[in-house]
Order: sequence, then C-alpha cells, then structure tokens
Amino acid sequence: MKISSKFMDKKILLTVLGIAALALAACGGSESVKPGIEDKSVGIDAAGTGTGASDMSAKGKTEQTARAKSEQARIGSLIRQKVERNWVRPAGWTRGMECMVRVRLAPTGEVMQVEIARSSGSPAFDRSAQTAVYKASPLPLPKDKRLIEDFRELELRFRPEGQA
Amino acid sequence: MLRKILFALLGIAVLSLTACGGGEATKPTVEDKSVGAESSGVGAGTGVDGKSLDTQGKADLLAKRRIHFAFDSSAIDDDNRAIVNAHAAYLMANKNIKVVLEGNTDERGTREYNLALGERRAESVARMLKLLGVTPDRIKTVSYGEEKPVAMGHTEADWALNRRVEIIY
Amino acid sequence: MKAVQQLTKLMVVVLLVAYATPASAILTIEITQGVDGGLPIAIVPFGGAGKERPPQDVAAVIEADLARSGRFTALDKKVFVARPTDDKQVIFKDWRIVKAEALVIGNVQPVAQGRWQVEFRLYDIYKEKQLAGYSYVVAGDRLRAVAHQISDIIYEKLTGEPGVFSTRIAYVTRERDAKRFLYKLQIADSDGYNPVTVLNSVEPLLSPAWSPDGMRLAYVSFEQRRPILYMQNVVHGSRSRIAEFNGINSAPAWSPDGTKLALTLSRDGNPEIYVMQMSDNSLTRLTNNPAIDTEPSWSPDSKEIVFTSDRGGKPQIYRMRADGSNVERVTFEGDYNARASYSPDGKMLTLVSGAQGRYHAALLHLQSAVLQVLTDTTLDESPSFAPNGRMILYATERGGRGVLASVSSDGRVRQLLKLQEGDVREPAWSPFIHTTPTN
Repeated sequence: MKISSKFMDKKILLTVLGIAALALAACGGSESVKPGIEDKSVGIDAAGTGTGASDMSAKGKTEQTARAKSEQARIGSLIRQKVERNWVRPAGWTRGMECMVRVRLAPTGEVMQVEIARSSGSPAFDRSAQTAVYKASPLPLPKDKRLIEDFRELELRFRPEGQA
Repeated sequence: MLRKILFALLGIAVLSLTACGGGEATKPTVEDKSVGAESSGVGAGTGVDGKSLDTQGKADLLAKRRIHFAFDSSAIDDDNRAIVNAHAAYLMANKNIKVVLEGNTDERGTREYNLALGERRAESVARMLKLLGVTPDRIKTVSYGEEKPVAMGHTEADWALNRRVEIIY
Repeated sequence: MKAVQQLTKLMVVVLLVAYATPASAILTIEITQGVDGGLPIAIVPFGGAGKERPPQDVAAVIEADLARSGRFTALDKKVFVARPTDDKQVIFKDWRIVKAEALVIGNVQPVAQGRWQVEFRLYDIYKEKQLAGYSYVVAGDRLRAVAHQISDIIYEKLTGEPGVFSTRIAYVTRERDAKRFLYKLQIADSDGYNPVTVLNSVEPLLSPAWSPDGMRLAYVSFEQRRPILYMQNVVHGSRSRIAEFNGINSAPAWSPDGTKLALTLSRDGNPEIYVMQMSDNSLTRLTNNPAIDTEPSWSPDSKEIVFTSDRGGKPQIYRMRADGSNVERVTFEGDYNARASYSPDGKMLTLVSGAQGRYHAALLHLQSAVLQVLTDTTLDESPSFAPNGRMILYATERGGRGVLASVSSDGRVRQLLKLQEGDVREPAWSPFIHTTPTN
C-alpha cells in the first residue's frame, strides 16, 4: 500500500508539475512578446532610430522572433512620429512638465479613447496632449495581425524637450 | 599800422573762435566712446588757444549757458570747467544774483534713473561753484532727466547735445 | 511527504513568480517633440441679421486679442470650408480638416434702439463638445468690452489661466502745438483702444503706477517745474500731492496690499529709496548709499523690493528685504540693467537691459539667473507685466516716435498697440479689474 500511495503521490506531483510548467510556459510565452518593450519605451532618442528595442532583454523563454521585435520598435517609432507631428506644444511649457495619456485603439488604428492617466498640472498642456493623439488618428499598426493586440492599448508620455 | 594790428587781432580772434568751435564739435564722438568712464580731459590742445584770448574769451565763456557731459557721467572736463569758472567769477562779482542749474540727460536708459543722473550732473556743477566761493543759498538745482531735450533726433550727435546742465539766471 | 511539501512550496513560488507580472504590460511611448506655437483656433466671422452693421466687428476684436496673447494662432479664414454662425451648423469634421483645435462662432443682432444681442460658442474640435456659450445684450459703445470679455472666457477655458483682455493700461503721451509740448496721462483698453485723458499738462509727466485695487494712479509731475509725486483717483479725478520734498520725488511703487508706497527721494542729498505709509504719510528710509538708488518694485509676497542702483559703478538691479536689510545684486550680464518689476508669480523680473548702447525689454528668471532679451528694438523703456504674467507691455521707438508694444512672456509674439497721437511712453498695465456686468 505504501509503495502504491507513494507512486500515486509521485504521479500527482508529476502531473501538477507538468501543468505548472505548461502554465509557466504559456505565461512566460505571452510575456516574452512584451518584455522586449515592456519596461523601456521604444527607443526614442533625437535620431529616432528606435534602437532601444535591441538593447532590451526578452524575459520570456519562448521564441520571439527578432523580426517581430523590430516590427514593434518600428511601429512604436511611427506612432511617436505621427503624434509628434500633430502636437502643438502650448506656449509657456517648461522642461519637467509631464502628462501621461492612455489611448485605446480600434483594430484599424482609429483612436477610440484618450484619457489623462496622469495630469501635468496644466489643463492647457493636458489638452494639447489629448488633441495631438486625436489629430494623429488613425495610428499606424503592424501588418501582422498577431502583433496588433499589443498596440490596442497604449500609454503615451508627453514630456517636452528642446528649447522651451 | 594800427589797422594791420587790428586786423591781425581780429584774425587771431576769429581763428581762436573757430578753434574753440571745432573743439566742441569733435567732443561728442570722443565722449561717446568712453562708455561710463568718469573721464576728464578731452581735447587739451584747444585749451591752450583758449587761454591766449584773455578778457574777450571770458565773455565768450560766460555766454555759454550749457555744460556738457560724457555718457552716463557727471564729471566736468577741462573745457567745461572753464565755462563753470567764468560763471563762478560772474557770480562772485555780482553777489545779488542767484543761479538755477537744470540737469539733463540723453534719452537712453530709463527715465527715473535719468532723473537721478540729471540731478547728479546739476549737483556736480553746483559743487564746483561752491568750491569757487559761491554760497549755497544762491544756487538752486533741479533735474529734468531726459524730459527736456534740445535735440529731438536719435543720433549720437543729438544725444551729446542733450547731456547737459543749463545755467539759468 | 517532506519531498511533496518541498515541491509544493517550490511550485507555489514558481507559479507566483510566473503570475506576478509587472502591473503595466502596456506599451509606453515617449513623446518629446512637437510644434511650438499657439493653439490653432478658428474664429468664424460672426453672423448678424438685418441691414444694420454693428459698430464693432466683435469677432475681429476677439481674434486680435487671442493672437496678441501669444497663446493662440488664429487660422486664416481663407481655408474655412464652412462659416457656421449657429450651433446647428457646426460640423466638427470641417474643422479637423483644417487642423483647428478649437472653434469660435457667434452672431450679433440688433435689438431695441442702439442695443445689440451678442451670442458666442466655443468648441473643442477633437472632443467634439462645446466648452462655453453665452449671450449678452449691450449698447453699441460696449461691444468692444463684450468682445474682450468673450476673449477672456475663451482664454481661460483653453489655457486654464485668467485672460487680461478686460484690463486697462495707463501711459503718457506728448504732443506738440505751435510753441510748446502738451502732456497727457491717459488710460485705455488693454489693446490701446478707447483712450481717456485723466490729466493734461504743459510740463512732463512720468512713472504712472496703478494701486493694487485699480482705483488710483500715482505719478510724477513737473507742473511745479520740478519732480513732485501725485496720486489721483481714476474714477472721479480727485488728486493730492504725496511727496514734494527738496530734490527728486519720484518712482512710486505700491505695496501689494496697497497700504504703502515705495518711492525715490533725494532730500537727504542723493537719490535713496523710502517707504511711505499711506495712512499717515510717515516715511522710512531703506537705502543708505551715496550712489543713485531708484526704481523700487515690490515682490508679490511683499517681502522683498528690487531696485536700480549704480553703487557698483553702472546701473544694475539689486534686491533687499522690505525693511532695507540684506541687499544683494541680482543682474550680472550687460552693462546697464534698470527698472525691474516682478511677475505676478514672483519668479521673474522684467527690466530694461542694455549692452553697447542698445536697450531691450528683457526677462530675468530669478532661480536660474538667466537673462532673456525679448526684443530686437534698441530704445525700449518701462516694461510692465500683465496681471496674468503672460504678456509684457513696453515703450519703444518706431519711425522716430515713441510707441507702445506688447510681447508674450516667452518672447514669441510681439505686437504694436494701436498708435496714439504724438509720442507715447511710460506704460503701466492695470491689475485685474473686477468690472460690473456689461448690461
């Protein structure tokens, strides 16, 4: 009896471990798509080459093709450029002002909602950020439908640089 | 013979007058370059000619009722000192006469600061008169700052003419 | 069992780690660049029924106000695809096409004799909603005042700050007749229109200074052939002499609570700064220095006074506590800095800054000590902040005459004010005026 119960325990253990491993793989897998861009913003420097993505380490262990990663960086950069083209920075902005907006997009890239996630403290500045996103609609999205999901909800941090 | 001497004297007088006039005309350009420096002593050469004119020169000096100044300065240079001397002498010779010194500036800078600068220039002339013996109760100073220009333009020449103290009897 | 327990613990930890995803899995994009400029606003010419044209073009006054502030760029009417004058006619898409972010429409209709009804609406184009809408009924001579009130509302809704379009400006003009100069102290609308003369003189006038309640002007007058300080009630014109000591009496500056006046007196031998209590005219001397000390101005918190002094050789700006203690120099660039006054938030000074004989209206950012020149004209004088701190009014020279101009506090937009007769100088922007309703 002891032997069989031990054997039974082991089976249960193994099954549970197996499920856990699968679950890990599943979560890890979907996460590994995001870590490439998760904590760091899509490389925005003055040159705008979007090189940031290549500096990031993927957290997930499942395969995340280099092509998909660079596609995300490219789209992120295109979105940034389009919004920046449409942003009229309000007179009197100062360095250090920052407004975070949360954007929801339709699968076509159409801007459905723009809300202030964190105000800059200046209504004019906040409004200019929201307006910039609306004006930039529809935002560019990846051609690969599998990657679109990652862009359905975005956060844009408006933090002006350059000559005030 | 007398005629010749007279003509010669007249010639010298005219020459000296033009020399003095020439000295004043060149002064403005030199003054403007000394930005804010409390400089004195401009055109020492003309002073020599001036001295040679004794009594006739003094009358000319007394006829001058304006003391001019360098930009942002209240210092009195040699030529202007001669004019102040002449007026001090006149006042000492006529003890019943009082004088009003009106200080002025050119238009550059702020009006309130210029009001103060005009006063400083008037006080500068007053101080000199007092040193030469004129009692304070006979001297009155007032400043008009940049408010009463004599030259209405906006050039260096206009500004030089406006930087002045008017001597009023 | 121990092994099972350990493995379970391990699994729990592993699962926790696996599921403890960071809070934000959302893509964040940094937006740092943009176009610097005014908010693009479309102002549609106001409609109006009837043959009678209103005596003022209300929409044009609004457009000029908003453009002059430097915060707005009024779109060229040529590109408008529609000209709505009524809420029902507004199609937001028409305005997105021309990249307008805000829209102003309205109309002006005659009602009873000499009176007009003015209506306006302000829209946010991208949020597709009305931000403001009001209706007024006024006499024809109040149409400009209503336009300025509408400008204030639009300004406040879109910037979050109060507008200054209903405030006034005071200034001095000098004209010439056959034999002498004529000086006038005038008060006009913030855009220079509707001047009213409050004092005529054949002798110079300088340094008008508004009391904080907007009811009085202090100024220097030479009517007694020397500089004396007066105070005048602008509503009913009564005036009194504030200071007529020996020497100079000038440079009046009201304390923020209106109970004191800082001024320059040279009665003790050279120009020094004093403070006079308005209640009993008692004087306290603040500076004690053989140099010229003049042009005092109070900080908005009443704790400090900035002033001009040449104690260092040339005029520079100094700051002291309101009791005269702790004097320190604050300007170090340029060879001439004078006539400083504080911005309403206390963070900046506007002043005249000169170098190599060129005098510009300028800003000194107090914390960073950065000096920013605002103009490229070279004979600027007496800069004065608007009460919202966003515009500066100053005097300058143009075409051989003295004129008034305004510049936005970021230096981007400069505009000449309506030209008055003669030479204009010594502008002073009023505080916010709490007007009674226009009706």
